[in-house]
Amino acid sequence: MRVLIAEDEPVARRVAQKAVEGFGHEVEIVEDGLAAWRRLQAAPFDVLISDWLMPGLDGLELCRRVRARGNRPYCYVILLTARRAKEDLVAGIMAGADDFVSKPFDHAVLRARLHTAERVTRLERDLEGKVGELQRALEEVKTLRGLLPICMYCKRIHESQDVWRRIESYVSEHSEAAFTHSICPDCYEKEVKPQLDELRGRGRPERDA
Amino acid sequence: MAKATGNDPSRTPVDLAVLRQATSGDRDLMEELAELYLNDADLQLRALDDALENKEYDRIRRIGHSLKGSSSSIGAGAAAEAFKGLEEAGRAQDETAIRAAIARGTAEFERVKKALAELR
Repeated sequence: MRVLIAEDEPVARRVAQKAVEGFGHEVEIVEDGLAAWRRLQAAPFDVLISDWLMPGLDGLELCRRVRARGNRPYCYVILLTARRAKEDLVAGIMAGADDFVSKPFDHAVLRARLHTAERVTRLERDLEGKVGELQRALEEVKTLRGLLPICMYCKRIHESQDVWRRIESYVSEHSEAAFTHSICPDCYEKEVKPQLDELRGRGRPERDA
Repeated sequence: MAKATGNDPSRTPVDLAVLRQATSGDRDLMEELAELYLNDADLQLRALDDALENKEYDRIRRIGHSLKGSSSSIGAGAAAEAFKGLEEAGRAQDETAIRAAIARGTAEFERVKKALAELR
């Protein structure tokens, strides 16, 4: 994963960097919240590990900004903190943090948290892929919508300024439907039968309708 | 400078278990972190007299906060507590408390320096 570490304290910053690199992830480090925000806007990161209290922009506000910009692609946020009060944890979660790691770090705990981050970001990437497929499929689905202006006599559809299309042609183009032609009983009585009767009256051989 | 108070000589200045846990026992990294801490703390402590003279209480608070964090990261618990006192004194803008906290923090830092020198 691509991990951005934002930590103003040099020892903690170095410890975090070495640990996360040791776990096999690609790491970038910054020394304050504003630098972190600029970096996040410039490039995608799978994980942000941020100190809570930093000069300029603190971890909480950084987290809010990451969430406000939308979740595509998703950035998993871990806040580093010595804070343990319930109110602080609630504030962190409401700001959009996914997880917390206490300082000073425990190597094994940090590794486990990144394991969770990997699982969540993988799920998010899969979901993003499926949403993209669905959107492409929807673009290809043809649907008929809205009011169709239709001639009350010949039933042709007014497609554009000077264009009147036969209904079969219009529907075929705007949907997946196709047509097969036959004659309904009313039209047989009204249109076809009189013609047949006339032909019989003239003594010509009948032809089946 | 005010007399140092609140130091506990019986308390180990540096808990090496903290450093080992943070570095997975990597000796080179432990030494690198020790160096990093000492250089950074030295710089920050030097800035304190100037900050106090100019009554830059927020700067004092931030230095206290930073040194508290880095001392904690290196396993220097007593120093971390001393600098926490500095952070609080800076927040309270209490000059007397600030001077006492600087004295205590400086004394603890000297103990940490000696302990980390043995690491190398």
